[in-house]
Amino acid sequence: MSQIFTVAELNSRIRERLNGDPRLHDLWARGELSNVVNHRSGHRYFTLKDQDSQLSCVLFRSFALNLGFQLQDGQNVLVYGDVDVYRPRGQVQLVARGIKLDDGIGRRQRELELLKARLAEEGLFAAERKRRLPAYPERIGIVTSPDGAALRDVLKILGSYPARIVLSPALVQGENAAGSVARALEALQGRADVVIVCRGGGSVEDLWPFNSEAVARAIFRSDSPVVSAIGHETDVTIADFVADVRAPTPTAAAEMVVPDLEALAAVLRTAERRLVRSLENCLDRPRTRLSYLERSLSGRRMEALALECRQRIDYLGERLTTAEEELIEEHRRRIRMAEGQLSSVSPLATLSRGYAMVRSDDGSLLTRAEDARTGERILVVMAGGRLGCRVEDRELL
Amino acid sequence: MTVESELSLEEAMEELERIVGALEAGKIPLEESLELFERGVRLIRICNQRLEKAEQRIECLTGDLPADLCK
Repeated sequence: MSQIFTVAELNSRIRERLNGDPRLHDLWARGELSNVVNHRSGHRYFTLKDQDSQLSCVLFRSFALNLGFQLQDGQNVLVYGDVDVYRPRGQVQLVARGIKLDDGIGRRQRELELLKARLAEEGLFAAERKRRLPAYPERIGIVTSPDGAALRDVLKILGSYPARIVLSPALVQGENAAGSVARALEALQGRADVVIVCRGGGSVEDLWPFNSEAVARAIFRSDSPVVSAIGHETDVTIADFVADVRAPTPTAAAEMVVPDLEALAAVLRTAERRLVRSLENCLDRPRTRLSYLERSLSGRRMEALALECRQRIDYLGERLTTAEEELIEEHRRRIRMAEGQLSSVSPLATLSRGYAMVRSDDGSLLTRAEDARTGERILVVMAGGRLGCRVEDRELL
Repeated sequence: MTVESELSLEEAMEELERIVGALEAGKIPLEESLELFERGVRLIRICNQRLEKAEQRIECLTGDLPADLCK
């Protein structure tokens, strides 16, 4: 068995340890006063506490005299002193040598409210200016600490979505963080379709750079939409107000920025099904019409049609023949009529009635007695022949 | 019409949506429907190819990429 301590020895050991750590000496601590005891010895005992923790403190009489104000429960203070162990009780405590009232938090809050009001008036928080995130970004910018968990969370969600990821590293806490984040955002101009600004959880102090004007303006000037994911769900900073979209965590930010790959694959599968189905429908209409027409063009129908045609041809043929005959008959009739008319005016008919036609020697027709000369030879054409005669005498009427 | 391989994922998805909508409306003549169908199928293939490439490409604007992120 190794050394067995007495309690005193143990406490001494602890004290030695604490005394040997320079960081635990000449330090400032911030917290709220509670359990203030103004001892009759003149020493002041109190507990210094904040959200997560508390520490017993003592302000000895000599220092208390210089205090200048009364210690009261609830006061926000800054305490200057050293950490020590009160050995008799084994109690770690902060031995204070000076205390001042901390309006730091109060002052900081006031400044924050003023800044918020000013930026709001300039329109940095306006809902109308918030831009929609691209559905299928090709370049995704990330402003964050290259060593932090936030970056790795984001990369995990982005997974194998086919986009170029552009990391613009920045300090995300400390007094240089505001400028660093602003510069990192500026560096992404023209290089991303959407930007995620993120960091993991931390104290109000840690997140304070994201309440700065520099970061707010840099986000406002960004040429692509900005998604902010600063701290935990309940942490809200000015950066969140200016951003186009606020995400509760870096993981959520990444989910907002890329489409779900599974969902996309499903959409593509559905699209394929819809394409095939609508093409089938497209083909169905002509197919139906085709089979209807097919039925209409059946063999029997064709025969019926052919028979119909034949009958029509026959019928027309008959009519044609009849018409032909009638036409010929008509012609014949007209010829006969003409013949009749002709014969009635034919000179031959006249001759047969006893008239004669007289021609001179040269063959020309003599129609007037005065045209004939006595002694001239004339021809008398009668029914049945002609007579060669000489004019013996002439008597004009 | 742009060659499918030159389209961005966004352009391909949007055109695909338009084609599916147009074919489902059913007012397009058969020959053109066939052409649109083929284009749609090619677009689907391109999109799937793009999504299946399981490589995360990350670059760092200033300084070096942390070691654990370099593949």
